[in-house]
Amino acid sequence: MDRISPAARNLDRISQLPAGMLEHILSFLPFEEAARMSGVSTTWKNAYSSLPCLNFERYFLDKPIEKLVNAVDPILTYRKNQKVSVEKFSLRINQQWSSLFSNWIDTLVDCKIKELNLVLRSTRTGYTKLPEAIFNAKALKVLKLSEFHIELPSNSTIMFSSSLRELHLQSVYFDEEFMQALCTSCINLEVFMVRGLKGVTRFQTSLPKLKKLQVTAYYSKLRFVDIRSPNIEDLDVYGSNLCSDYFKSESDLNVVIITNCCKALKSLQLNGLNGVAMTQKWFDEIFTCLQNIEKLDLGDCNMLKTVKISGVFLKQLRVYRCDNVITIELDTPNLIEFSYDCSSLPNLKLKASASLEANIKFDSEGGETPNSDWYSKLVKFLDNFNHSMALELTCKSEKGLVIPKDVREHLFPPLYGTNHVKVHIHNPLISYSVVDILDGIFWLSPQLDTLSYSKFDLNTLEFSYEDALGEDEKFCCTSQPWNCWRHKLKQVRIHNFKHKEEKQKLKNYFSTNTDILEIIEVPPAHIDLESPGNKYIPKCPCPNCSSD
Amino acid sequence: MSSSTKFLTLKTCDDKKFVLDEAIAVRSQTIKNMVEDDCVSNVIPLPNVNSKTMTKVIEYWKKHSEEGVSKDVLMDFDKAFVKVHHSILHALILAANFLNDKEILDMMCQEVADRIKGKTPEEIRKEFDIKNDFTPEEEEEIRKENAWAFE
Repeated sequence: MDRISPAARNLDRISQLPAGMLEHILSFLPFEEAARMSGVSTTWKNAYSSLPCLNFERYFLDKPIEKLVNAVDPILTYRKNQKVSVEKFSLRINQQWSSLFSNWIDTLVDCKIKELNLVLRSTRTGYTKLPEAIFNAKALKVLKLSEFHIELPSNSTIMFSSSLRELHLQSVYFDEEFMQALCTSCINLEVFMVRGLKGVTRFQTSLPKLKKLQVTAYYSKLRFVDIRSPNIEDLDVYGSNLCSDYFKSESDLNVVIITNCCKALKSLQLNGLNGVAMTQKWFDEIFTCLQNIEKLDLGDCNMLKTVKISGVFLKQLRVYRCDNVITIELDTPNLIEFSYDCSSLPNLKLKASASLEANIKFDSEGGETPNSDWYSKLVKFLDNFNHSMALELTCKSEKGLVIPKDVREHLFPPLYGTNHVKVHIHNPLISYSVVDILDGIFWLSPQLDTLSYSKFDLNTLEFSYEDALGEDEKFCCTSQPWNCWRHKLKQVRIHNFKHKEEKQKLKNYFSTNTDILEIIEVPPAHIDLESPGNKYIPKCPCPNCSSD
Repeated sequence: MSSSTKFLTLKTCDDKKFVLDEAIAVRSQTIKNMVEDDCVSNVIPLPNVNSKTMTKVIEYWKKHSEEGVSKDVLMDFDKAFVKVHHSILHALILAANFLNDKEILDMMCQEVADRIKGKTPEEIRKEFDIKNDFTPEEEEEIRKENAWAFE
């Protein structure tokens, strides 16, 4: 950092910033830090006193409740008396203190609250009734509630204001009557997230402006979901949560209806729908109506056997842990991303974009040595990705990828048009070296430009070939539709190979098997992780496994 | 870049001129509005920004407009970019505010907040040369009001 020059001293620049700027700076601090700063000068005190967001989510969690009251009471009183609005108020407290905030909510409604975030930490003594004052918040745009009991207000003409745009309800109890009232009064609702709903078994909505909906059925009694919102673009339905070993949770969800009203739907995620009979008819009904879907995720749907989709808009498809899938037929000429992660290989028929990047994760059937039938199934499966832009293969052990030489004779290399391959082995076997992998992949994909391989580290090999035909053409170079790498390989660039023994094996392999001219070693810093074929395997995409 | 690349000339308050690709310059919402409203003559005057600050802003714009730059590289660039003296930070906040570039503005405000974090009001006054204009009574009252935040 620069040294402070004498000329730069004695200038209180921060206090001279344009109006609102110091507030903006303080809003990047935790609220309690901003409160401390009110003691700096009058300018700072004024900035603090008009901060738009009051966040009491974390600071008071481990402190006595009086401290919270001593902090919140004077702030809200000041705001009310001075008519300073509060944009956002967040509070997280133990359920036993829930009676405290009822008059705070009155004040917040007076302060024209726009965003309210109330989380009760449950002590399992029943639900706390949501203060009715919230229904009077005319400016409220975003409401997030956790562990509340919501009842229809006694004056049933009052419901959430039509200003409400976003509603998040977690572990909230309400009845069918309230659900209906909600759907008729919140006509401008655009984002709706529900998780662990108690009190209702049916979730049915035709909210006209709804754009994004997430329904999570586990920890609830939800059995029936029926969506008919004409403007919905993004829909996630989660049934059972099976992907986490620690929080496995079944759900009763057995009917999911997405009607043809949902023509605007672009992104659909169906996860853990084990109770839903996802027959071909069910699938067809959804897909003949919803032709605009661009992104589809199917995960943990054990009743799913056949996936047949034809659609020009589909760009991204992920199928994971649907372990009974037998057939996948995709007539999706614009598909650019396909991930597949199920225990067995399906019969795949794929029509996709040439810039498809595919990410395939599979197991070589129970860990036993696969037989030649399995290998021909694999080759048939991989054949679909010939001419794809990049392919990433993740396999439990090398056995699933290195096709034995005697089996190769009866098969045709499936990936001769694929230039970028990345290989990831979960449990590498000692009996296989990098050379076996390379030899196996070169058979699958004989015109490879880059091969990334992770065992100890992520290593990348880049290959360059001679383009002009030489005079002394060998038979093997002319008899196949691809260049013969044994004779055409000109240069190999080896990135990030730290393992000396493996590196030596690699060099020996090239010198005995090819007419190679040059091997260049590139130190680790030069690896471009952004390049295609070099991407890491995405983590489980469901929200239960996300970073928090 | 296509052959239709248009260039804009920006003139800072100290009369220095900067010729810049329009596609980059419109990262500033202020300039973007001027271009869209067609009120761009030959030179766009920036009466609130000096050339030293504008050089920094353009450096940021160019880096963040480059193709094929990885996230890590940009993060390192941003980290180095904010490591400047308070006076430059202040000038950049004013410039970003005038140019209406929320990305730079938020990054700079975040940096000031980071410099404030964990310090006492006394330390802040010293660091930013701020005069304590409270009477002892006022100071006592504020201390009481915010006692909750000091534990």
